[in-house]
Amino acid sequence: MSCCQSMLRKTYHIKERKFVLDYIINLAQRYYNAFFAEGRYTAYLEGIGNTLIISLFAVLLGVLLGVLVAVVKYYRKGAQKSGDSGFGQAV
Amino acid sequence: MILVLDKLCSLYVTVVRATPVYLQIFIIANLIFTARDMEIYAAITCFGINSGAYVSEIIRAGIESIDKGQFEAGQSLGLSSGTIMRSIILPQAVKNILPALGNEFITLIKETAVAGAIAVTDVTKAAQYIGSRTWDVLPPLFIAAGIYLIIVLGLTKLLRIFERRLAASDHH
Repeated sequence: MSCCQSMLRKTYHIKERKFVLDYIINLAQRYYNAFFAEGRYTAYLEGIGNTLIISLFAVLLGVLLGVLVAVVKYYRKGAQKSGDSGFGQAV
Repeated sequence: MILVLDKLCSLYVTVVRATPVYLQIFIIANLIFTARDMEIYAAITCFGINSGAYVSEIIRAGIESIDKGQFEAGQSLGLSSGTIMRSIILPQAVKNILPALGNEFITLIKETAVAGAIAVTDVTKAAQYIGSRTWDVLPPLFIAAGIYLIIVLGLTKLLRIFERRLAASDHH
């Protein structure tokens, strides 16, 4: 009885191990398909290029607009105070 | 005149901050750059306008973070307010502004994933495209996540070096 049980456990163990091994090999194949097969990495490279171009120029445009808006706000604050002193005086 | 400009700027910041980017990019793409092959310009415009609103707040906060006494010290030296701004306030404000600006850049890189909505092939869109070709959706998405992670981690490291160099002149 106990011998039978241990054998059962052993086969189960081997089966499980095979399953895990298969899964890992399969996973490697899947990632290979997703990245290297048929030169697919060029798509990622194109994507990286586009992402970086968009964010770089967007940040430049954003800084430009942001400085513009901040300057207007600053002038407005100076005009509001209209005193002879104070930090927010019109430049 | 300045009042009208200020109202316009307030409206711009309010509208941009109160609407989702996903919607803004569709509006820009269908309003201005409607031609094909122009999507990337639409994306640049949209994200530029979007981040402009946030950058303006960063810069305003940076200028306001400088102590009022600095301005008064400049005045007591008989400097004009333009000179005070240029040579006393701004150099100190820039130190506060630049790190926050770097963070804005990092946020922007992650935000550009939305550009896939108007068919710009950014990293996310490329991953989706490859997933649809191989009938296996998950691996490309993980690869794309890894790419974003590498870009952002690299930038974070760069920013840290930059910040340390800016802090080199501090002595307190």
